[in-house]
Amino acid sequence: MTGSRVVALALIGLAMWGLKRHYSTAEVEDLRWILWPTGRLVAVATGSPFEFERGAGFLSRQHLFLIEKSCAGVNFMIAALGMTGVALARAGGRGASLVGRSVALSYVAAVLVNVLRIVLAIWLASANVGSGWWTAARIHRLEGIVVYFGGLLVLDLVARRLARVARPRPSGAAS
Amino acid sequence: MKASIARAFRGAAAPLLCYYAIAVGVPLANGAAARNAPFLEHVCFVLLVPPFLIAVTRLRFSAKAGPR
Repeated sequence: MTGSRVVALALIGLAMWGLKRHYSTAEVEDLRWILWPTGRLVAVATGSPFEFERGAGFLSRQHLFLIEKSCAGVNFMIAALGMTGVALARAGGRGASLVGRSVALSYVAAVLVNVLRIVLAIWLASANVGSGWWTAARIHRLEGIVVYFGGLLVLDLVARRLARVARPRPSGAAS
Repeated sequence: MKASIARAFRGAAAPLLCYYAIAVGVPLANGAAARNAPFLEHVCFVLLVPPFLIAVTRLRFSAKAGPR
């Protein structure tokens, strides 16, 4: 493993740690960098506005749904950042481009996967699918696990494909 | 069939490990997750649902592809 790859992976590890620390102490206002695009995209997908409420998050009065701090998807982004960094590094990525691509991919994936999870959660809440042991809270938990884990599986495939495309071909190879 | 499912688990090892680490490992490590019933239920969901998804997805793809 080259030095620049080790440094890049260390920087990614540091970014994961920093994100976790930031998330643990952040107020909802500090998380606008991820909540704002999420709220905008959920609003577009559901056709109802989400307004920012200080100290609470993005609220849809129509759906009575609040995108709060715990809905921000930061934990998903941390997992995605580590997984993407390792996948790209194993495929030959290194240096600043490895760090930059990992951060960009994990951020975009976190927003998109979280939008899908929230849109599904709104739909499930309005469909009243819970009954018996399967309470609304358990269905919400199950939906979150399926969407987040599914998102990681898809992201892993995308990262590996991107790494294959970006990998330099050996000189003299037929194009 | 067993080999096919084992291959699916190997392919999904990185997402599975990352998900377990962030959803179970980190809360356990920082002590935020007291060993109470809701957290234990959360852990059960997190540990069981992803392997179930991998196995079901693999079986569906195997069934679609048919015998080789």
